[in-house]
Amino acid sequence: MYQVFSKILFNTEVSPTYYKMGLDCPEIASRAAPGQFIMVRVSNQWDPFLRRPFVIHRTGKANTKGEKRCSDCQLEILYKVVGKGTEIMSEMKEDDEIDLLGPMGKGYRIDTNIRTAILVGGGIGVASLFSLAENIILQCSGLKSLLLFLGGKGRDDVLCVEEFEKLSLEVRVATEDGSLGQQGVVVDLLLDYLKFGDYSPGSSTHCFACGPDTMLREVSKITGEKSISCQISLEARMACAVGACLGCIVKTKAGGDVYKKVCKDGPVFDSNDIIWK
Amino acid sequence: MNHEPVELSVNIGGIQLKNPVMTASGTFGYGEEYAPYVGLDKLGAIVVKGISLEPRPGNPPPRIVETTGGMLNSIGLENIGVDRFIGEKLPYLIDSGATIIVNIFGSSIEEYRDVANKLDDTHGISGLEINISCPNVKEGGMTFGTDPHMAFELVNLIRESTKLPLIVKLSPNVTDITEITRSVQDAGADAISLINTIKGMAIDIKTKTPKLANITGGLSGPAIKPIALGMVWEVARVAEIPVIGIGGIMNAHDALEFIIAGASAIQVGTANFINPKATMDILSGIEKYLGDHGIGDIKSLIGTLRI
Repeated sequence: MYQVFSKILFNTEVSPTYYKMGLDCPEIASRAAPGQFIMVRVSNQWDPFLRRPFVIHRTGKANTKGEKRCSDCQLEILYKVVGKGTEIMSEMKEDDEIDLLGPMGKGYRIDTNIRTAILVGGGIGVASLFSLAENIILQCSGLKSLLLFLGGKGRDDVLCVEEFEKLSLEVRVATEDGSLGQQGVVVDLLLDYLKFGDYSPGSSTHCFACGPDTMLREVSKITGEKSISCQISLEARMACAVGACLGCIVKTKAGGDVYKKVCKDGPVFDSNDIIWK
Repeated sequence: MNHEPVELSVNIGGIQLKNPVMTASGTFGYGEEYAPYVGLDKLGAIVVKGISLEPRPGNPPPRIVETTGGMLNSIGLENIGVDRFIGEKLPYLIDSGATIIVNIFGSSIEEYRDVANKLDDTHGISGLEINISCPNVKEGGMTFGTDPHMAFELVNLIRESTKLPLIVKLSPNVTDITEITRSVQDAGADAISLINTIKGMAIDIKTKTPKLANITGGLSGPAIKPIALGMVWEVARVAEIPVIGIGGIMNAHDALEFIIAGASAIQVGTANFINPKATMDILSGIEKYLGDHGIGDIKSLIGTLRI
């Protein structure tokens, strides 16, 4: 893990209240794996006090189909303005310096035998799936099908569709207000897709999901019933991100007498390991 | 500016520290978490996350909340228990060359004694810090730190059962902190550390629910520094044993204030979360201050407050 002062390459609003920030930080970018995150210090003052965690949206390392959007030393985060910290971030400009820690945590594990990969993203949860999709394409030579199900409250909450389509992903969308794609929640898309087909162990179908806890709980239940391997990326309040403060804990079947730490043991977990409330 | 080398070592109740910068219990894990950022052997000492006889799961989440200039936590003393600490964590710490102080606690006087006993027989530990001040557990913790008689009884029992130097960590959640100071000193404490976190809470006004599952938690960070500094000054005036200052120390300036108020050493806590290299920055800042002011030995700065 590195602490670096990184230059902001761009900070662009991609949809109302959603921003994409490009960062020049070779130490972190060159070592980052899909699903890992960075800790951002948004102010030199003590208010806001704590760093903010942001999953790494993409890095320059993955380079599919000849497209190269950023160099090896750069990474991008995608974030939603939800409070004081992200509001300050949204006002940062190109060439400003920002204090980062990373890459933090354990990301997605990619089984190179995957033949069908189903990616499920709820709202800003899509942020962690882009780098994952790029790496699945790079690493899984027998890949037959790569699907992305995206959900949000309305069309403004559904991000990066075109970018995923450029990677040749099959993208299906659901919005709660019906303003884009099918009306409903993203879990409906997953249920529809899984109605048919053989998903017994050995079929090499893997699911990856990131989004709100309610969505992850549903995805875990559905994939569990079909015996589909599923990894989920959890969000939690955290202070240190190195496993010291014990603020970001989750109950797991393997946890024993102590909780698992989202920051260090995760943020990506096998869905079967989580004990939901 | 080039300076002559300055003497930074201090002695805390029989524990020789190479410098006065320690880490506060519960904010530095078992040391290895911060090894990528800090040379553990460069620290005055590492105070390990609080250890009990048996493993404890701690409180349910949410456990932390950001507040203005600080944070509330209700971790609830989650730890792996003394046996696993000795087997799994201590060897790494010893290999790192760190000076190791183990923070201990129990839900009964006997449990404190038993943990102290186990660590007394263990190689590589320089001292114990006795936590009688955690606000986040129902039994033990702060109950021992708010009653001078119980505090005396507890420290006295541990004193009889271990040869290790004892640092007693005090709670700010009391009417008169000097009363507890005298009790633990009379009971045989070798040093005092203060303050632990201050009990507080935060409420979500949308849901009208507490932001912490435990309802209340311990406040730390720069928001508590003036309170901590005032209490360290009060305690240092009456204590005959060394005092370690804790509470919202974010930089060398903060640390120097505590030393001038009477602290022989300081512990860096929540600052580690914001800046993992905070301890090293503080150490170099103290060294620079001493050099800039022609102070050859940190010991001559301790308790030099002019009133």
